[in-house]
Amino acid sequence: MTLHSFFSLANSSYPHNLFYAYSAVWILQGGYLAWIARNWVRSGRRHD
Amino acid sequence: MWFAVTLVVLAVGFRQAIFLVPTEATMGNVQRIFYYHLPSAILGMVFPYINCVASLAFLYWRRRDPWKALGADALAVASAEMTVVFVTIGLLTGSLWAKPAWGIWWAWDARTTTYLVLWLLFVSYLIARRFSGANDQGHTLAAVISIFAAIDVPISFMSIRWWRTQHPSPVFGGDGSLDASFYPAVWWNLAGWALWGFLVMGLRYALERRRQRVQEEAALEAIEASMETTQ
Repeated sequence: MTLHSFFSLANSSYPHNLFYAYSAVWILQGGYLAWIARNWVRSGRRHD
Repeated sequence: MWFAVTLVVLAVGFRQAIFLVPTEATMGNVQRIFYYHLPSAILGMVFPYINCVASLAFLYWRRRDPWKALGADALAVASAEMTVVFVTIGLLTGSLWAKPAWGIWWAWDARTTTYLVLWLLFVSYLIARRFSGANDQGHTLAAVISIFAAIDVPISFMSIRWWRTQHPSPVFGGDGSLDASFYPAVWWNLAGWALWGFLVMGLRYALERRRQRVQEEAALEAIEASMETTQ
C-alpha cells in the first residue's frame, strides 16, 4: 500500500475511512494526554 | 524512556499496518482499520478490570485506611478514563470499518450493544464522580457502578461466541482465523497501545494524587485559619 492510498482509497466507496479511523485514534489519545499535561502544569502552579 | 519505547513500538506498528502486511483479499486496504480497532477494543476490556479491583480496594479501605483508599480511588479514576478513551475508539473505528465492510454504520447485535453499554456505564461512572465533587458518597456510588461494568465485560467478550452476531467471530482460532502474515501488524500495535495505555494511566494517576494532596493541604489550611479566628 502506498502513502497516497492511505489518505484516499480511490477504488473504495468510502475512500477516506482508513485515514479517518487512524486520525480519530491519534486525536483522542493525543488529546487526552494533552489534557493530562495541561492539568499537571496548572496543578503545579496551584501547588507552588 | 517508557514514552520513547512506546512511540518506537507504535511507529513500527503503524509501518507494519499500512505498508508491510499484505492487503486483505476481500475488503482491500480499508481492512487495515482492523490493526487500530482490535488493540483499542481489547484494551477497552482490560482497563475495566483495573478499575474494578481499584474500586473494590477503595470500598474496603474507605473506612479502615483513608490514605490507601485515596490511592485506590486515584487508580480507579485513571483506569476509568482510559477505558472510556479505548472503548470510544473501539466504537468509532468499528463504525468506520463497518460501513465499507457490512454496508451499515452500526448493527444492534450482541457485541456492539454490550460494548456500547460498557461505554455508557463508564461515562455514568465519570459523571457520578464529577457531580459529587469530593463527596465520599459519590465516589462510593461510582465504585458500585464499576462492579456492574466489570460484569458487562465478559458478556461482551463472549457475545461473539454465545450468539450469532453481525460482528465477526474470533479472529484468533475458530472459523474466522486470521492468516499468519497479518500477525506482525496485530502484535506490534497491540503492544504499542498497551504500553501507551499503561503509561497514560500512570500519568493520570500521578495527576489525581497531586490533586488530592493540594485538596488536603487546602483543607488543613482552612482548619488552621478557622482555629486562629476562634482563638
